[in-house]
Amino acid sequence: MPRDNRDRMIENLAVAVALGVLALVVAAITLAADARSFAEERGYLVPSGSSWSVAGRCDDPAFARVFRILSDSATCYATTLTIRSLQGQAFILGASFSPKGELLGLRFVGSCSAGQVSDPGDLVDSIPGAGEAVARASDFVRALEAERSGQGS
Amino acid sequence: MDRDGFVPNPVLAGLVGICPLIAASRSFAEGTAYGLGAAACALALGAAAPPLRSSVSDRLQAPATLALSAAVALVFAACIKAYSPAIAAGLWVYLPLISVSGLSLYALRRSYPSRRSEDSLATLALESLMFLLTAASAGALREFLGLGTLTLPTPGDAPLRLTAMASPPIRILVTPAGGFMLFGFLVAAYRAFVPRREGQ
Repeated sequence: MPRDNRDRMIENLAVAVALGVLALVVAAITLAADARSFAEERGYLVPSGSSWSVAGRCDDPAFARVFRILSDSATCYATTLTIRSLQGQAFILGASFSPKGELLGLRFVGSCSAGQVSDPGDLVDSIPGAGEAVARASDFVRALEAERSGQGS
Repeated sequence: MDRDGFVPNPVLAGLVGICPLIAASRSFAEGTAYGLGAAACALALGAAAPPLRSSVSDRLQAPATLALSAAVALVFAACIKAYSPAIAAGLWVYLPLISVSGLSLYALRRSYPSRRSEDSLATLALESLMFLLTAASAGALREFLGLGTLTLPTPGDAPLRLTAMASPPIRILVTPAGGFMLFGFLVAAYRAFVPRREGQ
């Protein structure tokens, strides 16, 4: 192999290794940050003394993972909904669902920019996009429960 | 005609990096976070430029620079999510696009001649600070005039928000169209008030 080509190949490999190391560092930092957000989510979704597990993960822009919570012999699913609108609003809501996908409760967790809630008692109607996010989460919970029931039978 | 500052040509600036800036800076908190991220990217690239130039051949400097900018943007995004999930939710998909603004901030100043003879990190830091102030002030203007509030970049799920007006006068400013309008006025103001070079 000509010397120039060999030198170029070595240089390419060296840069590829360096970028691979950089990618590993970024992945490690991202995983650490994700672990922290996971702990925070669990903190305000799971009541103390309840057993929990991650029922499923999703690529939906509004929610990433759904918890399955067992407390007092009752089962429910919970997730955080992140809603961002074109009108400058960004909200984080905590939602809980029954195994059938019915919305049990919606709680205001936080907001940024213009996240003003006109009626805290009716978050679904007060927040643009909340209804669609709740509906998608409800469908996902129904699918999870159906999959779990199918595996159990 | 050549002007100082990080926007040498508003048309050129419109082609690189300004779209995510407009979309992201909808409030003071989001604009500050975005500007800080772009500044961090640009400074990281400026600090890595001398060792890159000495150790990597010319054909590999562009991909290495791009990878470094993307890595810094992703690390910054993870830090923002840990600092304030609410601000991260507001920035949403524009967090990774911080790398675009950082790259353009770093590359644009190298594409036109500077009055200073040396290519110093201090100059890049000053221009990054200008970018941060521009992003933060644009976000503050848009939020104040468009929604009547001012969200401070405090940590946690609910950043501190100051309410100034019950009925904000120009609601369109918080939309992307309003953002472009505001930046048009800012560019016009920049061209009107920044002195031209002598003889041009």
